[in-house]
Amino acid sequence: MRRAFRLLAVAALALGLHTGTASAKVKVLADDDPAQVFRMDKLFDDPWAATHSDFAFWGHYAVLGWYTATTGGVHIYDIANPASPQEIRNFPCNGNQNDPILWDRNGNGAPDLMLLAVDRTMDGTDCDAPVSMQPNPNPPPAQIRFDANPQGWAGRPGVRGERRLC
Amino acid sequence: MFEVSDGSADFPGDPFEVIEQVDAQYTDCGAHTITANTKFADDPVNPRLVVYVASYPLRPGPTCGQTGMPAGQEPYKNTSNQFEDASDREVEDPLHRVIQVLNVPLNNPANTTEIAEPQISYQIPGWPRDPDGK
Repeated sequence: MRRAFRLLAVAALALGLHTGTASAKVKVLADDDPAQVFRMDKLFDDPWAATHSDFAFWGHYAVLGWYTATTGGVHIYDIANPASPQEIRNFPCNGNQNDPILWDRNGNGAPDLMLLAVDRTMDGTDCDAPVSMQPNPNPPPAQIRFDANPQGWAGRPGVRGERRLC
Repeated sequence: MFEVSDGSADFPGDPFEVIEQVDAQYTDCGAHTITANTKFADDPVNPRLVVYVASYPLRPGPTCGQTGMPAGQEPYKNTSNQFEDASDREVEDPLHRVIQVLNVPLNNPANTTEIAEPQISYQIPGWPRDPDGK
């Protein structure tokens, strides 16, 4: 039962793929070869001006990780009607990249667990913690280099996030 | 790690109405893209996701990579890194050379732990090398 929902939603979401990420590999097909091209029409553009590089799908839900230089989050869409996706929520999370994983633990068809990938040093473990992505302007030579905030998350690895509502 | 409302009694609220962060797991080199191995998701004793974490080798981080190159070795130049000013694009040793592996218990994702840090470097002696050696 649950496995049925693991299938990707069949929807042609035309979104701003950012080159240079592992998930943005594109195979160029010959556009005049009917054996290769069967139909792919753009139905929808996400209007947000941000890098949307990583997606996760579950049933008729699509979660789009997005980020800019200083912030990020996930856009969550109901794509039951692929031509007119309904935005459910824009959930902010400064954990840049925000590559999402979804899982449905109770098998009711909607995800109840989400994982997000963070590839920037942040000042804390929570989504609203600032990103300290600027390196030390005067890094000591030939040593491990710390980011701008030496007391940031990176300065206390192992600290677990407190339960909180975002 | 976030628990998400799904419209059921287990996780009350409309789908995605409530998104609650339950944990955060530090990984030495950050997480650029993450991939879930679902083989053990239906394990009767310990249902879990095994998550492979790939970092983003743009520059060294607080606990990843290091500055200082061996004598005579050219520093790696990342000229396309939009997050660094031009003077800092010439980073040294940005290659993280590991992935991190997390165990996410589905019954209690707040107890996520790192379980492995396998090396992936082509520089490991005896491993197949990158054909151009760079």
